[in-house]
Amino acid sequence: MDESPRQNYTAAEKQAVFDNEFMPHMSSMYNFGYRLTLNSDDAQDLVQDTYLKAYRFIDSFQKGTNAKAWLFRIMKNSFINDYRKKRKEPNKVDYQEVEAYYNSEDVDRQITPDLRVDVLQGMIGDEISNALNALDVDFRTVIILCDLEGFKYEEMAKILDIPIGTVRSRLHRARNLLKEKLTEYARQMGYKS
Amino acid sequence: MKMLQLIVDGEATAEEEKFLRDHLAECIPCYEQYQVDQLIKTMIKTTCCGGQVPQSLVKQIRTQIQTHGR
Repeated sequence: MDESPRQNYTAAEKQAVFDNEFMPHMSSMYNFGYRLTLNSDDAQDLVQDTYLKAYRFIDSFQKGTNAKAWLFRIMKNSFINDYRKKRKEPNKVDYQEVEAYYNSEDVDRQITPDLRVDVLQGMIGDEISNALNALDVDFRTVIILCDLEGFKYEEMAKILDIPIGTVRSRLHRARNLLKEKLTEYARQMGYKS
Repeated sequence: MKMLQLIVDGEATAEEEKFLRDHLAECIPCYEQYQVDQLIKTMIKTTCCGGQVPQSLVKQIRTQIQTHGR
């Protein structure tokens, strides 16, 4: 979004862009905020912050481009720069480290969960949602962007400021971890693997 | 198989798609994996979308834009 030429909207145009292009995504943004923070008050703060920033920097938004991706990127940055710092999460792992760990060959070999379709179909409660929330936030994020919001890899790369190759590998790891969680639930539910 | 997600996500090129479909036609473990991955994706879409944003928040944002935004 930084690369796009600055627009010069009139007040009425700003209002129109805000109403027609930004407002329709508010529930998606709220859900994303919730999945990032796992707290509805914090999610509301993030949404508010994102929309105020979006309005303030509306001149760097080009009409007709992907408003949803633009808003998601703002929220992701707010989450990393403001929320995480404010909370001073001391136990927050650097995600390059996490990435390196999950990219190692060993882990790939361990993670071969034998979930089956019929087992998954038996999960009619909150299992999927809980399993997703149990993942590290960076893994949670790629799954939400891809599966829930339907962003393409290229859009995800822009939202997250990472190369497409990293999007692919992070998504792959995230899904393996999710399946590992779901396998655990399946065992608790009494399915034999 | 790592490449499977390319068809699950609709990101495969025509060539990759053909290669993967051919493979799935003859490899049962990969085909089962593919079905599982596909189902998880669908389940996430239907069960993790959360609720509507609170109307109070929508109002609050509109008010703030109107007062500070200009």
